[in-house]
Amino acid sequence: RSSQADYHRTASDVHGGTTNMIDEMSARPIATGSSVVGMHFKNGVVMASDCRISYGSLSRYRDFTRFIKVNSDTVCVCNGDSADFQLLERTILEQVRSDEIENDGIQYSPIKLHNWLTCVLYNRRTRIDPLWNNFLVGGLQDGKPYLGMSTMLGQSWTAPYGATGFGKHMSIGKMRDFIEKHGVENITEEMAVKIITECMQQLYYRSTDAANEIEIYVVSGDGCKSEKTTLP
Amino acid sequence: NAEYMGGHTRLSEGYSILSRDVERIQSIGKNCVIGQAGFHGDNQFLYKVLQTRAKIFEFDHGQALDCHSTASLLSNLLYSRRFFPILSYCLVAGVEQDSQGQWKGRVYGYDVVGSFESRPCEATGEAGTLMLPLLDNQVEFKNLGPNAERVPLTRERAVGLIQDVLQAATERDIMTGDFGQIVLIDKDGVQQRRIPLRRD
Repeated sequence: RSSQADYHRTASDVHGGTTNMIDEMSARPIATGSSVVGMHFKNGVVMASDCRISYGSLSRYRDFTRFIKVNSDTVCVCNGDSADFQLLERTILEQVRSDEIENDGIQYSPIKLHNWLTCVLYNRRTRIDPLWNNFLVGGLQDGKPYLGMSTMLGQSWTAPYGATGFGKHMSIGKMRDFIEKHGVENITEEMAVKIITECMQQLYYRSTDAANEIEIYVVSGDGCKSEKTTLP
Repeated sequence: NAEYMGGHTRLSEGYSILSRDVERIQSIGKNCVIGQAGFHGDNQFLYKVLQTRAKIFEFDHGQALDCHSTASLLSNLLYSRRFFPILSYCLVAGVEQDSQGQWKGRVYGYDVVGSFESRPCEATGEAGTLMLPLLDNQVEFKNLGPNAERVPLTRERAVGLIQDVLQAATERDIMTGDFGQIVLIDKDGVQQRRIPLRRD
């Protein structure tokens, strides 16, 4: 629909002809975001990320939001290359605007966004020109909490908890334990936010590219709210 | 006259477990299932393509894809990517009627580029080599001494065998575990159940 979206074009298409440098441009992420974590609770999902973009070992941008709020039921967040993130952000928000113009009541929902994102990521990976991002798509699907993961390779799955990057190693165990001990139906928003904050804190302590300014999104029956806090 | 397929539900990446709840066996048509091991992204892509092709077949021919047609279609899909393979180790299992109207069960095993064969039993994936010898022994009675008991394979015994084989694979393979998904296919359709497996 949108002729401005470049996400479907390979690097060599965009620049006309191929050069070695251009072919290798997608081979590594340049300005990167750190881990993101998310989990279900009784009425919705909580997702968190920090606000730093790193340029190798330089902490380049200190107040960058990696969340895309699609509508009051759907939010997605990612780690990895921030330029690729911004391309997808532009594309998604353009599509949301197109949907508003159509004005037929059909909107994005988490499952739709998750599916679309997986297809885009998979196709880019198959063209050996990946979008270097791992996404967490969360929200309310038919009134029930939904959390889906999409990796840069185009794998996707849904689970009551999810994390990318370092969070895969450090936070998933904690969230999994908590959810299995209490059951999603017994976890309130406060409990979930507390666990997520603890996960982000642990990541801040132990991951070199994490920061202590974090942003937490809560999507529930009351809509979508976000909060920026600083970890001690 | 029936087929069983068993799979596990763990999705792993290196030493991390990404999810404990990913089902790998999905149905195509009424009497056929496909189980997929290998790269999860390619599995999902392949299943989507296969489902779409199955729908197109139904619209074109007015009847659902049967088991050997699905198997053949899958082989062609895989071979079409011969030079950039879909890293999906598939098994197709189902029942179909033969020329006398008898329902027969069939299992087809594949490699990533689409060579396939119908066999009495098959196992694939990371732990496939752990499971296959046990299945050879108990389903085809291979490598049994002359006095060993050859227990005929009834439905109950088949379920038990699949459970045992999944448990055995879970014990010895780090990537296998969490839940086992066991699927029964017979002429009435597909039924599923889950068994718990070790989570370590």
